[in-house]
This record gives sequence, C-alpha cells and structure tokens, in this order.
Amino acid sequence: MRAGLAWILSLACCPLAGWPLLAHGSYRRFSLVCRLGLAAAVGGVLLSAWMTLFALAGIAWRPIPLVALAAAGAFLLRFLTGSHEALRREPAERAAPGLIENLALTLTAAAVLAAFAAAGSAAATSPDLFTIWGPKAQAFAGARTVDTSVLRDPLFNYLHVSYPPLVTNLYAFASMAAGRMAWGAATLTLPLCLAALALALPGVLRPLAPRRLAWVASALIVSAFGFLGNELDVAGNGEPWLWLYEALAMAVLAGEASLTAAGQLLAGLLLAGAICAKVEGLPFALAAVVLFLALRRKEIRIGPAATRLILPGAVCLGAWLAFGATRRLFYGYEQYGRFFDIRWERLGLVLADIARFLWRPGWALPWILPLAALLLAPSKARLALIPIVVAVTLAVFFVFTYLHSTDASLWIEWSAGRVFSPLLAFLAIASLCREGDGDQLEPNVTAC
Amino acid sequence: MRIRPDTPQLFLLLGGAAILTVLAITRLPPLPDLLHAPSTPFDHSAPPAAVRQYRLFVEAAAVVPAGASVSAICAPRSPACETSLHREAFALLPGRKVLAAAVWDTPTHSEDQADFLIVAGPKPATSPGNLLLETPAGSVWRRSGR
Repeated sequence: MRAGLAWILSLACCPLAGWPLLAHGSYRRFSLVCRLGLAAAVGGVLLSAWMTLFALAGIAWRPIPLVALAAAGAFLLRFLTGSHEALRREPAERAAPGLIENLALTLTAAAVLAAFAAAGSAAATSPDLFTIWGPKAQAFAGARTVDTSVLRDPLFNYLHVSYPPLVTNLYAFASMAAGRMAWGAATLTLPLCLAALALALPGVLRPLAPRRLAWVASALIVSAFGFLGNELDVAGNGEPWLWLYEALAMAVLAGEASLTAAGQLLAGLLLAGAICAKVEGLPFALAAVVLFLALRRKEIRIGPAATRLILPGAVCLGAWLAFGATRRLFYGYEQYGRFFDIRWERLGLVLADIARFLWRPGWALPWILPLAALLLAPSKARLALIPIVVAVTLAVFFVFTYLHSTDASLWIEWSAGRVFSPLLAFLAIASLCREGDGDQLEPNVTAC
Repeated sequence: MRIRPDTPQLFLLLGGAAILTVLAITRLPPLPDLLHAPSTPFDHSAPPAAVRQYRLFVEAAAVVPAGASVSAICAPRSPACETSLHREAFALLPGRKVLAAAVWDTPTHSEDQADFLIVAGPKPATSPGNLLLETPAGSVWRRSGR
C-alpha cells in the first residue's frame, strides 16, 4: 500500500517539472487550473525526454536530478515562447458559470470519479500492463536505464522492443521513487490522465467557442474516455496517455493560441508526448502538423512555426531511435507486415469487424455523439478541417494496417476500440471550430 | 425568445456527456466491491483463472529467493499456457532468473535447468522436488539436489 502510494504520488513530479514553462506570462491566457493540467502533460514529456537522453548517454537514472533537469529544461523553454504580451489578454467572459457550465463541470468530475472507481476496484485493468508496459518499466527501473539485456533477449520479443518510451519511462521513474513496480497504482494512471485532461481541456477549448459550449464539449470528451477506459480495459496501458496528449495537442492547434510562438511550442511538446506515448502518435502528429501548416500558412511564418511544432517530437523520438541504433537493438519501428503486402480482398471483412467492435462499447455512442455534434454545429470554420482530416487520416491508416493481416478479426477485436478512441475527441473539437466565435485574439497579435 | 443556433449542439454534447457518465457508472462493480481494496489488479477485469494465477505468483515470490532460477509450467502441460505463464512470471518475479518452459507456443525444455518450479494447476502426480507451497491455483517446488 505504501509503495503504491509513493508510486502514484511520485507522478506529481510531472506538473512540478512542467510548471516553470506554464508559469510564463505567455500562458496566462489560460486559467491556473488549465495551466496545472498542461504542466502535468508537458512535465511528463520533459521527464521522459531526459530519461531517454540519459539512457543514450549511458548515465544512470536518479529521480531527483531527472526532475531538476526537466524543470530546468522547462524554464529554458520560456525563451522560445516569444513576447509574453502576445497572449496575455484575459478571457472576455468573466461572468460566474451558469447552469450549463456547472452541469458540465459536475459531469466531468463524475466521469473522472467513475474512472477512479473502475481502476481502483481492478475493473479496468489492461492485460498489457502485465505483459508489456509494466515488466519493461520494472526492468528499466531495476537497471536504472533502458535495460538492453532484456530488450536484446529474443525471449522478450513480445515486449515490442522499439516501442516509444514515454509510458515505460514514467512508470520506471515512479518505480524507482517507490522502490518497486506497483501494479495496482499503475492502473490509477487512467483516472490520473483523465483528471489532467479534465483540468486542461476546458481552458484550451475556450478560445474556440463560447465558454458553455467549450465546457460541455470537454465534458463529453472526458466522459467518453472515462466510459471507454473501463469498457476497453485500458487502465495501466498507453491509451490514457495518448488521449491526454492527442486531445490537448489538437485543441491547441485548432485554437488561436497556435498562431503564437508560445502556443506552437506548447503544441509541439504535446505532440512529442503523443509521439512517444504510442506508435500511432507519430502518424497523428505528422498529419496534424502538415494540416496546420497548410491551413494557417498565411497567418504564420512557416519555418519557425514548423520548428516549434516538430522539434520537441524530433528530439524525443530521435533520442529513442538513436539509443536503439547505437545499441544495435532497432533501427526504426517494427513492422506489422510488408508495406505493399495489402490484402484488399479483406477490406469488407475488416470494415465490418471494425464496425462490429466499435458498436460493442455503448452502441458506438462515444463516436456517434461527437459526430452528431459536428453535424449539428452551425457555421463551421475552415479550421475544423484539421481535426476532421486528422481523424479520417488515422482511420484510413488503421484500416490500412489491419489489411496487412491474413485474418485480422482477433486483432481488431482487442485493438479497434482502443486505436479509434482518440478520434472521438477530434470530432468533438471539430464541432467547436466555427467562424467568429470563442475568445479569440486581436488580429494584431496573431502573427508570430 | 430567440434560440441560439448552437443550442441543439449544446444539448447534444451535454446529454451525451450525461449518458456516457451514467453508462460508465452502471458498468462499475457492485458497491461493496468498490468499498474495499481489490486483492489483485485483475479482480474484476480478467477471468478467475488469471486472478488465481496472479495470486500464485505473488505467493511464490515469498518462497523463491532473489537470484534463483525459476520456471513456470502448466498441469497438464500446454505450450500455449506456458508461454503466457512465462510472461506473468517475468512480470511478477523480479530479481529471479525466469526460464521459459515455452516461447510462442513452442516448448523449450528450459524448465529442466530451473532451481524452482511453479506448477499452475493440480499437483503433479510425480513430485518434481520439495514442495514449498500449495494453493488452489498451483504449487511451488524446489528441485531435488539443487
């Protein structure tokens, strides 16, 4: 019990590490609560990045220096945010929250509590925690670095040797702090990630739409993830982390904050989190960045914007791939079949299976509801194309991946609900993108 | 009174959040199970056999010393079952040298070299060594002469 408590409490180092950046004036546009959630997400990325860099350099992991370096890195990143005046404007809507907003907050809190109850009662535990994420983290914590002896052993091929390191790094960090891997505590990362998302998302969505709409959309996203967390048994695996990073990154990119250096840096760090949380974070990040640069090219300077969006992810993933290459462990992600070896004749079966297994958790309501909200939304803005096209791109990518298997039914059964789950957040965010709404910046501060 | 153009969307999002939250609550285990800590992280999310195996490994960790070699086998023998047992043993017996009796559903016979043997299922007809522990899920043995 004590080890479990220490394990989960050690993750409080994430917001501590990220706070020096989020405390900068450039981010005061977001509320304190919102910045706390964002700091947790950013701190997780920085902590994991330093752990990977330490492993690459052959330096043993020690929790206190790692947190100190992550916090120092967050502080130094302040110098890349540009003028903090650009985003300093206070939100226009200062009235007390009304009935709708209070209902949205209540539902969000209830969804997080339900996820906590599900994870805490061992009802949502992912089997992958015990076969992949946890054993890797435990071995890394024991070795105080990325344990090459385990990754090199053919007996442990099932651990997905090249898989990006953020979740295993953070679990290893918590295991070092607690003295051992705490399996039950690791399942609580589901409600923890949802709580961070619940803190940050309403504020990040606020520039997109009126407050009541931004908060109810956030409530829908959090409640959908909370429901799926239990239905799909993801507590302890990488999904909750991917939800946190992808939903926040998309919300930042779709909003006006992404027109500033500070917003782009924040989006870049969140994209890095997505890239290093799960393999599907990479196609997400690539699609999101390309679309953002294409749609907003007239409002931004492409070079600096692309650098801020891409550099954090390139450093984090580059360090991981460099580690794999220098240790002769891997030279890229493992393949799920030969690229052009596509079984088109199975397309109908694959689509039918996907539909069947997305229907299972709550009659597909987690996807149908945000899609319906998108269809109902009045005066959609061109920017809605970013989340919509990213969602479509990822859906095509997943179908394409499944088409590489001779019989993907079982694979689809245990993975489709999970891999398609972030798409619901993109649809909900797209439903908020409208012309001339929200709490937008003055035109003279949008260029960076 | 004029209805705002976003009102239908607003109520859809709010109603959707309410439905999904209620659905999430209805899927929770019964209240008494929520009020006390689960005995394993699998209590309500895995088949009872997996819960029993988890308990077997946790109890085995108390009798298999750090640094010892250990292998997990199924009774009756099954390479598929032993492949998954090896993965669980690697997770739940840190600090021990876990030898795989089977990998990718193929027997390795490495269990012959292990100092300790964990048998999931009924006690074997012929004793593989000194019995250290017996639970409803299986037994733990120290191999003779080691």
